[in-house]
Amino acid sequence: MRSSFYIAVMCIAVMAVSCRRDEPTVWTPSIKAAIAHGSLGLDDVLPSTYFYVDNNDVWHFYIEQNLTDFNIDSLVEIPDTTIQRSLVLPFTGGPFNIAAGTELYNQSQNNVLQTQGALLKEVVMRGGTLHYSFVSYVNGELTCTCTLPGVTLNGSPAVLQATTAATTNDFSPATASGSIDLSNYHIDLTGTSGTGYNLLESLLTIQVADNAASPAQVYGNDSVTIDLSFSDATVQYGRGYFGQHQYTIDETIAFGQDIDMPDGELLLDEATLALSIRNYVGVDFQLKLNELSGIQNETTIPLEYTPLYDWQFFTRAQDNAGAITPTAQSFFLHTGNSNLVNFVGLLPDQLHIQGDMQINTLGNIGLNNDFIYTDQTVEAKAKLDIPLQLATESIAFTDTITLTNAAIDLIAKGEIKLVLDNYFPCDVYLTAQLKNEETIIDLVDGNLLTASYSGANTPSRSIVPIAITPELLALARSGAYIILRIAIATENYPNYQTITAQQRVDYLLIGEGDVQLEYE
Amino acid sequence: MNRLFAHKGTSECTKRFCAFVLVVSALLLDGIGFAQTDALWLMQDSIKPWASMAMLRSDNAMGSNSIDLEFINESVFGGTLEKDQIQRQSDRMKSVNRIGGYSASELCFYNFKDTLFNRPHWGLQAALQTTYMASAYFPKDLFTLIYQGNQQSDSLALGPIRAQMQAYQKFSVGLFNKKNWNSISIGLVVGQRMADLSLYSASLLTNAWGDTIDVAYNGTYHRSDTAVSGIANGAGLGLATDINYHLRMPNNKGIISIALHDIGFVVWNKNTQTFRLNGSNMWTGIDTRPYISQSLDSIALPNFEDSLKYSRGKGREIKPLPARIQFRYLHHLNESSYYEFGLQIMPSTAALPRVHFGLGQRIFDNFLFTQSVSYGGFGRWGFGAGCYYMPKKSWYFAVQTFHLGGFTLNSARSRNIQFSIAKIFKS
Repeated sequence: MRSSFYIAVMCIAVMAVSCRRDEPTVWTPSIKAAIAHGSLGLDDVLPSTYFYVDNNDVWHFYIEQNLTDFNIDSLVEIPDTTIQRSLVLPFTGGPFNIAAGTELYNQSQNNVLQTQGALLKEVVMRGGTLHYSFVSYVNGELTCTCTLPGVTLNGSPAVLQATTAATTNDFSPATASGSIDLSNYHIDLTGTSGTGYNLLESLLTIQVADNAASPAQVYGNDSVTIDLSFSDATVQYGRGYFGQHQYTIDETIAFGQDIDMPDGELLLDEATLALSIRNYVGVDFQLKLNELSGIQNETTIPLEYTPLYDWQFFTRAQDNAGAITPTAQSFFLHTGNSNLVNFVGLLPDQLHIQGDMQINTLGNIGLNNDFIYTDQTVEAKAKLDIPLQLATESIAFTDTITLTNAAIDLIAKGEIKLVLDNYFPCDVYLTAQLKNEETIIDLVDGNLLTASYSGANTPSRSIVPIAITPELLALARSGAYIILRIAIATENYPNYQTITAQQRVDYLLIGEGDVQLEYE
Repeated sequence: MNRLFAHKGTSECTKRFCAFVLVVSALLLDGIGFAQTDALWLMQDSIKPWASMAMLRSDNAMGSNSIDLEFINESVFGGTLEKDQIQRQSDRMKSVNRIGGYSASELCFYNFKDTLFNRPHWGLQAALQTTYMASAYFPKDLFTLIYQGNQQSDSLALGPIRAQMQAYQKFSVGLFNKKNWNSISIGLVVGQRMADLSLYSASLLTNAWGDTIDVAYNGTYHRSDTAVSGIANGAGLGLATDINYHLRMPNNKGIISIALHDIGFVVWNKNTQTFRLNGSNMWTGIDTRPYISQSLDSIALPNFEDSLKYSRGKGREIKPLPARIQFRYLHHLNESSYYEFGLQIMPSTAALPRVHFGLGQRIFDNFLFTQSVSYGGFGRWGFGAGCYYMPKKSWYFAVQTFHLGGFTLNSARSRNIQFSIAKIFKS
């Protein structure tokens, strides 16, 4: 009977095992479905902040670019510098035992602050550090205090204080040091007289420490030294006479760095450039541009506009309790007075500016009241506005779309139809590549989308087949990205075409094939 | 005692044959079901001189009127569904198709010693049972969409669909008649899991280009508390009763049997979820404009459940158990053989009433072999067989199927097996 029991147990065990799921269930239905759709207008290819539509529904390309700040805040630069002051105690002979709390020295003095040639009356600091150290050769505990009446924060003067220990028997001096953060400190540089410049008043007091353990033992010729060091000092406001200077400007500026600038060449019907130079600094200066040119690859086009290359005189700005009234010179360039459309038609990605600048050519006519707020000095701004009435044989825009693995984690074979409806009055050549760091697969190789009839709502339709292959899917799963390149050629070149807000390329991706499905 | 069990010896050949049948049946087993009282027991018209009996029995079935077992096996247990295999299923399909299965196992203890209420014929019985049941009826277009895709047809009618699943455990106590095996028991039912989908209408339209897919749907879906899992988790509580009644014809010419199993209900708890689906969706692909304009940098597919339009509620739901009602007439032809007619009704829209005709024949004194032909249930026609073996009167083995083809033919559309193993303890 034992064998019957074993048979029963075996049956139950085999039944339990036979119900297990060993592998996924897999099948491949034939699916036809839209994968993705969208619309590609100019505002999709380029950041919409650079485009607007006018009352006539015409797209304008608009960009405002700061060309240069002329680096004029260097006028009030304070280099790293150290002021050292040494004092000798007024004793002869010795030793003298001086009781705790007794003042040994008290004297006010001007200290000269180095500048880059400016005669500064006052500055407000943006940042930097004032390091101080006291070195004592006195055999006793001293409280050393350096008060800077002209260095104030919210009206309170800076007080630098430290206690030095008694010197040791080997006559080594005792040192005590500290530092303060100069941010937002106002520094009066008129000195003790109140009429000087670059002078920092200090009041030095030396006394035997109140809580000294024993009286100080002082000899004649004992001394105390103080070092004041400015490091990394930056100024947010300065006043005084900044001196006469001459600068050479020679800068190359990357233009529209946050835009994927199209490549190619445009014939533009019209464009305007408002160029303004504003002086927010309390100095007179004159400026002469020798060159303003646009660069794309190896090609350079100088901007031709005669007034821009004459000497321009800028009088000083007015400071009314912090409210600055700038002085300015403006230039308005357009098709009729310059070569602007050719200049812009190059689609430059760099600007080169070369010129000369002279400051305070008439001397100290401001009577030591030159001023500067370094946040805003001299600005040169360009505002470019291009109504998109253009002609081109080839202008190309590029965009990149990164794929995530989750979106394309499938096994399939078949075809993707790319359906394109072109509403532009231009022939459009489309190139699409799927690529990662190692592999490139051409999805669409320069297919032509013929131009829509100008003014019509009926687009021209193109259908591009893309084969779904294992290689394509493997590449898509590898974290690849799609590079779309759209090259536009306007009809009847060089006649101009107007680009409006309604013009676009609609696209639709339809998958049609066998998709492997499975469940675990 | 019936002469079927009068012979005390058991040949080695018979043992091996029974073992072979059991093992092969178990290897091919895919589902479990519910058994009427075995014929062998009914043919014993006397009080057994036993102290008690412990029986493990199991009843399993699966079937469809259109989908073959190879396809079901690979769908349930894994494998690759080839296109021609899918096409064969599709060719067989009607406008409405059925599929279902159940698996019930029971450990039952019978006490023959007690004399209840001065009635020596009656004893106490107690049982633990676990049951899994699932069934569905569905239109051909639903199968087409899932397995062949939407390229076959631009317009697919996906409804009506009714799909149900219940899993529950039951502890029952009752009385049984030691002589004729009449019995009645009442049980406490613990609901494990329930899902019930009724889709009154649904459609999927694909336009000629494939650029637009419209889905419309109207229906309800209930599912039990999803916060609990495992056997006897308390997602539902209910009651059920089982009744077996056997009426002997005069002169012991035959027996009429009526069996009611799992007549009862489960109250699924207050966390039972109800979804009322009513709406439509249009799929036109992922809108890529945000990616082109780079306001988004990673493409994410929309979540299907999030796309459905539905209202959602929570609350108790009462669902009837998947009951079974069985009738049988067994007629003795002579001392060693009989024939029988039977009918089983499951109140499920996915199952037809199953009728069967069977013959039973004693081959050895303690070995009975049966054959049957049946129609209905989740599947269609079936030819079956059964073996009943009681070696040395202390063990009992039985195995029966209505669908032998389910174990030998890939093209068969039904399979079932019932088996019992009992240990008899003597006083």
